[in-house]
Amino acid sequence: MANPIPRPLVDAFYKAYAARDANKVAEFLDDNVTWTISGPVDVMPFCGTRHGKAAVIDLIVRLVPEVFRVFSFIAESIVVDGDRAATLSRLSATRNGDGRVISYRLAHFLRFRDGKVIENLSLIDSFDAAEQVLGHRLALHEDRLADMDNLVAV
Amino acid sequence: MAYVVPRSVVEAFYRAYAARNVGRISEFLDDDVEWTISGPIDVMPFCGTHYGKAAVLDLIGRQVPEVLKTFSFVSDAILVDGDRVAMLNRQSARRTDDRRVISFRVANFMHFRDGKLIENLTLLDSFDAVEQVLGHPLTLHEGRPLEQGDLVAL
Repeated sequence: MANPIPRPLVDAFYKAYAARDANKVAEFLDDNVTWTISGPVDVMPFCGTRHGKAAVIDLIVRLVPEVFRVFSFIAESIVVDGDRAATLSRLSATRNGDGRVISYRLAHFLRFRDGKVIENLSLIDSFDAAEQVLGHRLALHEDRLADMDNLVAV
Repeated sequence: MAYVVPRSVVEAFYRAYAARNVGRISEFLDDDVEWTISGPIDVMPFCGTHYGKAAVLDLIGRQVPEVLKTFSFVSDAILVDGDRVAMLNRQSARRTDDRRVISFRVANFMHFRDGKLIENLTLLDSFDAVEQVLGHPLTLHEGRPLEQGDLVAL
């Protein structure tokens, strides 16, 4: 059976991550960590899968801050079971460029090995997040080119 | 001491929920359960917060199937910690209108009391889910009416 992760370790990792303290976060990452954020890469370039500690630290210190600056990261629930932890949080940030505040919920599903994070999956309400990052409502209709039915002879 | 939900109760609830067995699910719901699905209600009308057992059973038994019929709900992780539960699942379904298959990850954060579910928050990659429900990619620009600069005199 996998080694259970102590809750104080999960809490310490979460505290470092919430503060975006890259040095402290690095102490909790396995060299071969896999980190996935589910969402549209063309709107939020930090989405997708990163492999390795350096790539995850780059994500935290450069890729995310290029889109917005996180100023609040509050845990609503932290569930710890065996070698896994799940957190439900609310992230608040200011958009780069215009300083507009954005805020959305996100979940982390983490797996630990020997006291280090070896895997993370982040799920976010990505439709809501994308609208806030873009700064406007998403058009729900399908874009299409003009065809014979669209043309009117004047 | 705070209530600890037995894993056997969580797993029995999960089986009933995965099978969308409304009669069995009902046995696990508190009369005052609160059930929230995060996402845009103009595309997925079942999103939002639903209060009370009857409303949640209506959600599962009628509102969701009006949009999609779930045929697979596979668990990646079920974490149990005191009275809190976190689940990560992959949901596969057919769109009701054209039976096209859609599939997305879903996170559930739950709170149990006395063997009953009193609160659930569902988080999903809603941008991806919306595109699949609509059946086309979302356009990222803002929808806007025609303006003078768009008109061409022929």
